[in-house]
Amino acid sequence: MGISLFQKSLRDMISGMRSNRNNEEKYIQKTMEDIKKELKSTDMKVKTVALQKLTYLNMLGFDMSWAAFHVVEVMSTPKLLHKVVGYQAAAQSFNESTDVMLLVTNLIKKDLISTNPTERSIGLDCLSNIVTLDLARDLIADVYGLLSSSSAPCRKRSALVLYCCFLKYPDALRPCFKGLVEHLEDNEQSVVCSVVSVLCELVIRHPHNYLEMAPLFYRLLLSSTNNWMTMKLLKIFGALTPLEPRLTKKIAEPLKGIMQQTMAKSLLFECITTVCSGMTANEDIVEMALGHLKDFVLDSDPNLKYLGFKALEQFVRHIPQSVLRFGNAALMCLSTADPTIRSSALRVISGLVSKKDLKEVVVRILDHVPAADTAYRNELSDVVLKICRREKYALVSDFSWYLNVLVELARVPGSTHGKEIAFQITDIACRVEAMREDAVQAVRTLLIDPSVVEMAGEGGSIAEVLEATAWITGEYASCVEHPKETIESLLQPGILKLPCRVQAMYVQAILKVFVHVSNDLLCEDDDDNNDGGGGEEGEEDVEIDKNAVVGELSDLITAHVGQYACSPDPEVVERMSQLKAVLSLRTGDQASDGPTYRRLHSIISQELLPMSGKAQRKVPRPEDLEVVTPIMEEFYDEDVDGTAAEHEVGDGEAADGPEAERAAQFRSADAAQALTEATDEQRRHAQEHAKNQLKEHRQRHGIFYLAGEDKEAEGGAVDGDDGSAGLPEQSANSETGSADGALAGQQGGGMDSAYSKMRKKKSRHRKKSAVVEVRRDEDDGMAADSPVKQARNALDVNPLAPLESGEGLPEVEAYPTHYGAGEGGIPTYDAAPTTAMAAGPEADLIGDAAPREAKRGKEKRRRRKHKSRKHQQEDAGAEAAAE
Amino acid sequence: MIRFIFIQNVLGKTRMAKYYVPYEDAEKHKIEYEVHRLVSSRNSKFANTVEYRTHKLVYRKYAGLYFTLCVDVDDNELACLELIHLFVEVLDHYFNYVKEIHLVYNFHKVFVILDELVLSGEPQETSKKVILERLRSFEKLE
Repeated sequence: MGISLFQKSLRDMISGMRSNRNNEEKYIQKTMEDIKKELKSTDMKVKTVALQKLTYLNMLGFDMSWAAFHVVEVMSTPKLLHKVVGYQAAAQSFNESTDVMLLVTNLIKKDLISTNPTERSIGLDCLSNIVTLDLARDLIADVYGLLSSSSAPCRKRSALVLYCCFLKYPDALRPCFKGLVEHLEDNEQSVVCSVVSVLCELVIRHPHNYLEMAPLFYRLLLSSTNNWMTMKLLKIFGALTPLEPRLTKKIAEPLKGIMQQTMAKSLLFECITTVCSGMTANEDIVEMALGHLKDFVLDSDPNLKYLGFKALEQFVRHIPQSVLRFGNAALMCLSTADPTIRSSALRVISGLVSKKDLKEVVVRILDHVPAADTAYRNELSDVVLKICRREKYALVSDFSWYLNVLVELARVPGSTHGKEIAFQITDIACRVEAMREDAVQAVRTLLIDPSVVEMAGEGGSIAEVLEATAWITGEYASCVEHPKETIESLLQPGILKLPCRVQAMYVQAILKVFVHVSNDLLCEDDDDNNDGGGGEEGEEDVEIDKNAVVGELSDLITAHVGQYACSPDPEVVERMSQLKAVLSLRTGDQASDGPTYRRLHSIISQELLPMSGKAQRKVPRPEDLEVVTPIMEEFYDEDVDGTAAEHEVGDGEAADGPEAERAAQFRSADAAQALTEATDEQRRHAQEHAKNQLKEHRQRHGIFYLAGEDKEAEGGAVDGDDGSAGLPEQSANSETGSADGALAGQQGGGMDSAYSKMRKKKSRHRKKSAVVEVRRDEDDGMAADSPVKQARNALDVNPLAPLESGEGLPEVEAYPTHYGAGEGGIPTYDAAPTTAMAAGPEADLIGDAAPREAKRGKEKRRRRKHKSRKHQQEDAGAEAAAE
Repeated sequence: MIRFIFIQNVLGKTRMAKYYVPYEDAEKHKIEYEVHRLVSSRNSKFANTVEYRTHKLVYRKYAGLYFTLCVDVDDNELACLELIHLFVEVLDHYFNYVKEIHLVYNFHKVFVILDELVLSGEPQETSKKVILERLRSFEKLE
């Protein structure tokens, strides 16, 4: 490329940048100024070189959006060498918001219909990079035209560029699809390969729509000699087999053949992926795939190892029992340095673990914790916590052991799982009564360890565990074996470093433990069932020292609890004061202290029990609970229809056996309704009461009312009778109104009209029943083939779907003028470009006649296929599935 | 589908960046920075795949250069690695023992080569011979 005398070439500029490393910025600034000047030059050579330099700078992060017009200038030069530079600049810097796009359209159009193959290919390359909805709409006809070009590279490119256009402009897929598929039988392998690539992307997006093409893909799979294409085809089958299990049998043989013969690991891996995505029912092939996977997993190449585990993850999800033999290999891999392999292996392990080997697996996972870095440690903890908590601790058979595991996990430095550990410890202690003693023992080790407080003080999530620990210790104080030691640990120096919530919990725990111990010791004479815990250290000389033990504890607390006074949290201080007050109740006389502590104990000893989420369902419904009859029948007398209809609904709900479950769902609503319902008498009484109150209020504060307001208020009060009915009615209307609006917004008009009829009938409905009614309507509407459903179906039309059998290819004019807004990014269809397309030379091809012909051809071929290959059954099945 | 292809050196300088999905300029540079940090932090003995946002990166280091591909999660890593290798082989043939400096001074040619190899995020030609022939015919223009 010739360079004018005073201009720096690209090479000069890059050399300059390299030699000015220290003040590169300044150098670039200067270059930028030069470029700006050069771009304005009338000499195309100068301009082009300047643009090339700018493109280079843009790649390094400098803005070039200001030069968009110059880019178009260079693009439009007739000289190919300059053109290429312009196109490269455009491909790199243009985006949807570039305002010169309109100019580009014609430029590219000219290239696409050019006779020069290089021009066509750079046009296609550029289009693929900058395609927008407008460009796709205006140029799709030309791109499609190139699909039937005589040059193979051109066909290959246009197939791929068509896919870019489909992405931006999905409406184009249907008219172009037939032509695209025809090129699966192209003479040139590379064209077939690119069409398969495009179809592969389409199939992965919507596999349902392409099931009927399976025989075609199958034939290609048998004849393919290109590994790249075979991989794409396998990917396609991977997406199709889950939808059509019979395909599995069909492709099992070719798959086996490929797996046996191929030397390429990439192809082998693709085969394995295909097997695990939809062929897990076929034992032979699974066995074969797992055999190959074994080589992958045991290979020393980290890539193969990683991919092996990744595939195993998939297998574990479907057929865990066949993957069991890999458990050991996965556990071995936990010490690998590569985090991606480790994570994958961990996922395999967590899918494989069973009740029997849980202990062993957890121990082996935990073995890796000390040597791991923080992130990996947390990952390991996370896996253990998740495995064990799965399905309400289904795998855990020894909770005592698990509690110790939890405590061990809590101590893991840098752990972020404090919350989860705290939850699980509390959960187990609450739910499993037999485990409480163990829980208290397990957490004791945390409580008495000063280093733990240190860790929590430094902001570790173990603070949350300490909070749970303190709560468990206090709540189950009866299980505390060494109260003195426990209380000491709750008062240890350094507690003020803990978060305030934990401090508060600590103070509360001290109170609970102390009261419990005192009660046990001092009231022993009164109730004999001293439950195990009470002051073991004083057990032998309890006769002598009971009072002294309590005194000692009390002194201990009094001496140290003062440190909590320095806490910044008012709640901690307040609780401390309470604790002090309780301690001051002690007189030292056993006879008088006993009853005091017993009373105190009775306050705090009531146990918090876990409650099932379904508990409400177990409460039987009272027989006399009337929830469906309108409470203010007299107001609806004139509106017989509405009331009757509602009665029907009510009866149906009550009587229908199979509906019982649904009724249960409504029961909570019913109960609320019953509670809010009032009898007429109550209502009248309330009304009168309200009136009186209003009157009194006005008498008292009359001076604050303006004359007019007064009158209005009066009117409101006088209107009382209507008002009471009017209020719920209004809210009922607004409720229905909003529900209506929401429905209409979601589902279109059908529901709206149906529902508005109902609404008119029941315009004077009370609020609750209206709400219930809305729900029922919605349900019924969805169950039957209602207008709502139809409307939804209409919106479900998938523009990326090829035609189904028997469906005529729609003419371009037949497209709806626009789809519902905001539905899955379907663009608004504009009528204008259609005519633009129709005006082009290929208009017929795309618009009207050709697709019909093509369709006829397609059907014919399909029929032929049916006869010759005897796939009738499979095909019919596939079609049924597709439908 | 390939989202983008980078050639970056160990210091994080981008020698080539080709995007097949549109990004804003600022976003592009953020991605380049993040990708380099992610890829260069990995030990050479690790697997050549790493998750990145909702996609995954497949990379390979040749001398001081990282060739990185960002692909969909269900794409075949080994095929991606083969594609990278093919790209490098073509570069090697074209520049006759390619070095980083070749790529620096001929960034526009690298783009042309890549365009022959990958189009709209899909490998379009996988035969080294065909690609080199086309490049030579292109050379004649100059």
